[in-house]
Amino acid sequence: MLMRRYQKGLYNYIYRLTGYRDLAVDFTQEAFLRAYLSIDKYNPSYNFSTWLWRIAHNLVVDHFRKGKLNQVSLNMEVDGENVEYEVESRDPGPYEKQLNRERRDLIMKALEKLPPQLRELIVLRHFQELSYQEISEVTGLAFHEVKSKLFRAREKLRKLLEAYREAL
Amino acid sequence: MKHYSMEEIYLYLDGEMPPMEKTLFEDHILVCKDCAHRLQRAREFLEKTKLEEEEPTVDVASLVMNKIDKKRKLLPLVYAFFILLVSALTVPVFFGLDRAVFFYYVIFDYFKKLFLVFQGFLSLILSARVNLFLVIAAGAMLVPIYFGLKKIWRST
Repeated sequence: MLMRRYQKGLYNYIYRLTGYRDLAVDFTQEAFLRAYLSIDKYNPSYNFSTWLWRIAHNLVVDHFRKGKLNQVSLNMEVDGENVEYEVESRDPGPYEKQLNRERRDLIMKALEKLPPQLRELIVLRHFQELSYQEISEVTGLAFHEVKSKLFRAREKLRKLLEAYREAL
Repeated sequence: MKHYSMEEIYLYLDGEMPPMEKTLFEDHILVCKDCAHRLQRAREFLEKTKLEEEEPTVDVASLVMNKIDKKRKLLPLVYAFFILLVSALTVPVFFGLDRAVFFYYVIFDYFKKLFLVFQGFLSLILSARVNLFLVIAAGAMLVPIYFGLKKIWRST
């Protein structure tokens, strides 16, 4: 089923942008519903996933504009629970799990500090693994803008991560 | 020797470099220690900032399907309402205003009577003036009506 195929990716995209799991669930639902209701507007020359991501992008941007997400938190402990991220395919031991958790928290903390637009580029490229062309279609940025802004985002993220590591 | 910028290095690592440039870049990396070092650093950075996706807290697809089903069920009702509304509004066009007023009055009167019957039936039950047999008989009559309507609803 089409929705089951995309729900995980879409949910993660929205969650990493907003920092709220409940909101990510709501927006994922809304994006699917909007896609269902406006399926006749879908242009088959584009990827279906890109179109879906574009709908989700518009939803998040609308909320940012309305100021509903001014204080965006990407804190992983939002719901008071710790979600395990398996970084490697094999089952890591307790020490590795702890390291992964620390690394994940550090990355999320650094992401939180990035401006929303740069954060979105990192999320789309690093986590969703979209191509520059797909990112351009989702965000509405020109190809060269994606290239330069993604570079800026990575540089900022790298500096933030270095600063956090030094502080530890 | 011209060095590659970090932006170009990321372009290569993201697989976005055009084939010709890619070949030139790979040739350059073999001879330039500085660019090779920066390439290695960028590769490590990308590896370190990779995170796995987490499962949604709920099955979003099921929630969406439920909502779509509800919408689908409501749709015939919405259509019926609009058809009724449009037909009511077109009565004066075809039959003249005085006949339309009469038509509206008949409809209104019908619903008024229906409401009165319902009200009377309700007050009878509430005041317990009717015996138990009648209530059970009325209830028994409602059952086939309910299932009949449900069947019609499903078929639509």
